[in-house]
Amino acid sequence: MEHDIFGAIDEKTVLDANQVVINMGPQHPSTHGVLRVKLTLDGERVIDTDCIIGYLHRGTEKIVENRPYAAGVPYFDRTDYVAAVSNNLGYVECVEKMLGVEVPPRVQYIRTMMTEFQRIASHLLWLGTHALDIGAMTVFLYAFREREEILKLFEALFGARLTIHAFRIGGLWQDLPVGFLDACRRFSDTIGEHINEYEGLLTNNRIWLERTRDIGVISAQDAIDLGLTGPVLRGSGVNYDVRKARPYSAYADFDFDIPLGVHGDTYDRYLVRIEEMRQSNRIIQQCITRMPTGPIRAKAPRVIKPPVGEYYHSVEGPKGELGYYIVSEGKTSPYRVRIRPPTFINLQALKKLVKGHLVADVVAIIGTLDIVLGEIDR
Amino acid sequence: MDEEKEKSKEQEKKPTSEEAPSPEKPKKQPKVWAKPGAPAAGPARPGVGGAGESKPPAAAQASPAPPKPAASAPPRKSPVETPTYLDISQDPLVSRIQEKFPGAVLAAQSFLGQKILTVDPLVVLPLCDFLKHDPECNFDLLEDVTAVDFPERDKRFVVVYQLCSIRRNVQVRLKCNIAENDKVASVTSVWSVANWLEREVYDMFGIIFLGHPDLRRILLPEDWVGHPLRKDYDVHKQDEDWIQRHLQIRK
Repeated sequence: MEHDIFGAIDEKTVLDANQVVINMGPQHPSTHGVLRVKLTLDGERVIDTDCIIGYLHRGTEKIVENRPYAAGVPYFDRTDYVAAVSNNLGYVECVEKMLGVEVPPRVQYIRTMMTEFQRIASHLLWLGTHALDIGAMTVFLYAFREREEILKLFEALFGARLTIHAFRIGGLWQDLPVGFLDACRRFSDTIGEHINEYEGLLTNNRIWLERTRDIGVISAQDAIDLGLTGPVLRGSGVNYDVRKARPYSAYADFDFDIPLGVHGDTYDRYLVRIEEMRQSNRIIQQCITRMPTGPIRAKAPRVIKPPVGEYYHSVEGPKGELGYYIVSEGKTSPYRVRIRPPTFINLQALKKLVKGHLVADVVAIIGTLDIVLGEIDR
Repeated sequence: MDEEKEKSKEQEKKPTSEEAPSPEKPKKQPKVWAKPGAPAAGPARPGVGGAGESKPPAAAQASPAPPKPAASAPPRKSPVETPTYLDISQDPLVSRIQEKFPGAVLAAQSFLGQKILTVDPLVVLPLCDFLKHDPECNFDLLEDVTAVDFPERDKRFVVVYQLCSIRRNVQVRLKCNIAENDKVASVTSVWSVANWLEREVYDMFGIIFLGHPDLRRILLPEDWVGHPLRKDYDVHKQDEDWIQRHLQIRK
């Protein structure tokens, strides 16, 4: 048998003999949660991947079908649990649109400001963990230092740090505490320098460049075809941001730019997110200086019963287009709530992005997609 | 905790609304909230909610009379008119589609300014291909695929496609009604993003997408029985056999 082994087996089978299937996760530090990726490897090169998800599936969509509209809000804190404010905003605004409730300008400004704080916090968490995955420990500590300040602001305004039930249908539960805007201004004045600090550590760092440039390249057309949204899409140079395309809340009032990448690689996505933090800070500064006075609640009905109908409302979450599709049958609880989860859809691109790369790059690419398993599994 | 917050929020609100006829009625209001179990949102209006799960005992003991007037009060004072579905069959997009696919659009409506086209499920695939590639339509981004279950209807499932054109910055929603055993063509060949989205719809509703390259469950385990987002799948229901087999947990 052994003497003619190469004669008898065709080339394909020889290749197959070299293929190894390994599991990455669900308990793996750089999968950012309970993601399991089944990698088919040829040596260290990735030939194919299959994502196995659902370990964190809690049936959020089913649960909120059985709860009153207002009681659904806290469940969305727990989908993308590092960006609860954005999740709340999308749902709350969708219900308000169906009810025909127009919230006062002060509410809109506060909501916009807090959502932008959330975007910075989420990007900081992404930056810290992404850099840590690739081996830059310091950035992680710095990023968490600033994120902590944002969480303190959340605690002052919302009473909690992570799953915060930020907004109510029709307004806010309380007005800004005394001295809150000053605290925001203090943060806003310093974050720019801190972002320069992170950039000083990474942007021209030789190791960082080697690990991120030309890794996980995706063209603009493929990115749209794969339904990517958020910084992942803009890293490929597609100018699509819900804040500009369909302005919601108070975004139409502010000046800000949408940073775009060129190459669609991990490095460009990193630059896009860094610049997004600066732009978010611009929005926050405009919010602080132009914060209107007035009531913090609209005249929303006491019992929330949107009319029979359906509405799709999307917001630009930190990770992409976060949509809510609500079908109402005129009852006190929604007939159907569908979350359009940006990271679930972005994760689908992993298969395409990692093909042909090394195992070590899989870690970088999972990081650049900025996934949160709470939202993927819902 | 959250219920409590809601309650206190309700109570906080009370003084602000001057129209409240007597302090008693609003005070009863939180009671409705306090019952969290709440498929029970039904009990307040047992007469109207035909579709809800039957919970007659709750309705009986809850003294449903007082909350009722309170519940019906707000619409009276709210000046907002109730939005309805408007006919948009004259819309240029609709006529453009009708030109290519006569009879494909079964209904063209808008609700709160969002365009909704109900289309024939048989033409979903060619229609989507047209909508994506036609320069006048150019719906290049498929935002979402999902479904809604209406078990009392003959065609119980509505498959919903949310389309967006990045260049033209417009959105449209396609809906097709299908019966329980009907299949609908997969649009994965048009937009790759549909792959996982359709898998999720299959997982949650049991709708089969013909021509899908890899139609497996995605969030639930492969050998799970049942499709949880169907309306006849109770919120507390689980696949007991699966749990017993894999986790050795017996109820």
